Amino acid sequence: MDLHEQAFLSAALGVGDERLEQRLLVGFHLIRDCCRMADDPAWVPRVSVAKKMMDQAIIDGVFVPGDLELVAIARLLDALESRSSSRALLYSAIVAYGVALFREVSFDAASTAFEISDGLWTPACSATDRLEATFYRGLVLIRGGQIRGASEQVPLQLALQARAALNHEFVALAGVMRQNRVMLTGNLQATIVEGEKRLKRLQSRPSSRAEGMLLNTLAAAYGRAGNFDQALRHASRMLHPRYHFTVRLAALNLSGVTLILLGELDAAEAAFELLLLAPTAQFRRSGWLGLMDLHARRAERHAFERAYEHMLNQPLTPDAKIHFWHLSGRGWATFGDVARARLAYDEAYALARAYGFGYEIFETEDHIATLPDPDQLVRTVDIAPEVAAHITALRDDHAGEIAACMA
Amino acid sequence: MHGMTDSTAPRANSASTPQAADLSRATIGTLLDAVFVDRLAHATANTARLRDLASFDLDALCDVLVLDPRRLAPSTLESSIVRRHVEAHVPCVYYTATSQQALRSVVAASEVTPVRLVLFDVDDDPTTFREVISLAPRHAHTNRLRLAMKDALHPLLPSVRVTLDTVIRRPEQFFDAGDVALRAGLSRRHLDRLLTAADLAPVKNWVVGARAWHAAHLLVCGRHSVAATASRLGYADSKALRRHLAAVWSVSPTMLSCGDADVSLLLDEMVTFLRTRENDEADAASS
Repeated sequence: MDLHEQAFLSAALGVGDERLEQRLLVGFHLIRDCCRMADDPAWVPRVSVAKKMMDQAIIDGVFVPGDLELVAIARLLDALESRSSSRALLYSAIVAYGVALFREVSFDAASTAFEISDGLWTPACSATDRLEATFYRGLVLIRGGQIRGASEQVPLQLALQARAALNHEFVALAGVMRQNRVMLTGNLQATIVEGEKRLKRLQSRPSSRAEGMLLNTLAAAYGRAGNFDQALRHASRMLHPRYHFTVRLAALNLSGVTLILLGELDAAEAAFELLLLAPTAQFRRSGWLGLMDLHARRAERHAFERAYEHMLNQPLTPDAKIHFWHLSGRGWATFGDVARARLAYDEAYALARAYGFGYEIFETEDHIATLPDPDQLVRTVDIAPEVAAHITALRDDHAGEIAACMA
Repeated sequence: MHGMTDSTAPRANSASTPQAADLSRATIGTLLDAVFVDRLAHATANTARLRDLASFDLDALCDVLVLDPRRLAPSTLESSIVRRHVEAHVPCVYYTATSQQALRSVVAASEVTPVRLVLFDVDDDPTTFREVISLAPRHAHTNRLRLAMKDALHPLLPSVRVTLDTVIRRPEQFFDAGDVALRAGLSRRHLDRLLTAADLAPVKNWVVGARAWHAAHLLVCGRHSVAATASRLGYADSKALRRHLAAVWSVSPTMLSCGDADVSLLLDEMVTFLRTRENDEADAASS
């Protein structure tokens, strides 16, 4: 069995969500054909199973119209079905499918798709498609939590490839990728200083794509550093229609998170509700996370628990998963369940340590430090009600004097 | 070195191809439902011997295994027979249905590394199935090297890792180090630098090593003659083949084909060859 085929199947069936698995299995049947074609260009693809599964998935509502993953699968299916000997067409389609999987946060599956694309590559393939593949493959590594090791070299590889192809946009995107990595390591100061420099440099070679992504990283770094006005200023720039829809959706998320911290809960709610309409799961899940935080802050326990249950088994990027555990911890602490809050923070801490996300490690430690000591609560169980009752009785004795004082 | 001929399976149903001739001598151990066995028998055109795994003696080994992973339950007699075959590096093909439950069993049966997954009613047409069975020993041989190098390749850039894996799998696609660098999307110098940083041999070793590993399969396992092996690997004559085998194992092709070469030992030396940097070679030569 081709190792890539096996890896994709494991990724598809390891999700733990029946609907997501059904989606990925459609892709699996196409991926098998791509693996065969990488070895033998004369292979006649067997797309009938994938087609049937795709139709069934549409009937079941697993795919909805406008779903970007569906568009990418349909394109890959067309490329295989055309039976043209053009590898360029197939290469382009599988890279697009990899990008769609990245946006659905199916990182293992996306990574396999990009690896198969390597096998399909020939010099006839478009240089831009190859740069695109290298760029997203790097993002899969970085956002997937592998900020140590190979991900360190991917920005350089992308920059070298882009320079050879005389593509300045991807040279800039290589810088953006590097900056993404720096931010996840927790060096916010370097992220901000470098980001502002890169933003200025983009004036000589404008690229709305690189600019949008840079603004996104900068806004996130400013937000994390507690510089909310700058975070909102950058997020507001990202809402401009000239940027890619993903940049605008990221702006909504960043605005929502910052507005929550500023106490503008209604405006934040609007931002998160808009995210629920996003065509990619990544942003829909961000919307759910934001709403979960809002419910916790408004002490809406039932709604919080509903959002928590919904998000518990959803695939999330490692940083989003840590964020989820932070929100869960804060929520449970708000509702007085300190032990459960502690468990959630412990999960976040373990993930942050495992991935080497410096900022998240410190943030989790801060959260844990603010939790009341559960042992202390237990020790006060016998005395606290007694003291409370005594003081309340004293206050009642002096109620008249207090009222006069406050008049 | 152009024209390596046995890498791509023959597309015609010709019984005179070397692969079909190999198949005619093979014993295929099966762990399948009756309807699956019928398809397999049709595909092999009754030239190979099909035997149910349950009928195997404790020491007997077949040439190829064809299993439905749904039937692989732990602690059954069949499972222990399969385990014994896996330990003996007998190639294994999975043959199962397209249902989600069947595919789940493919993922669950992780202790077996099948060379190919054949889906019922999808790719079990006689021609394809016959090709899969006949190429299984070669794929299994290749997989041994891939698995041995897996950990060493892991820290590399993804594109480099995939390219080197392809070099092992499909050596005919790469004629020199430049081809490998082109496929990895890097300059040759940069690629060699990355390999050095990862304590691996330069690209040229990989090109030579992959070809030599393939030659070893033909000479040791396939029992082909030296001339036939050189010809099938696309060498102009057997001199270049001799040079490559000498570089990797310090043996002549005749020694490989005549003697009872231990494939595990060859594998160990191949791994060393692929992990030896040029400086190491120079140091070894000077000492």
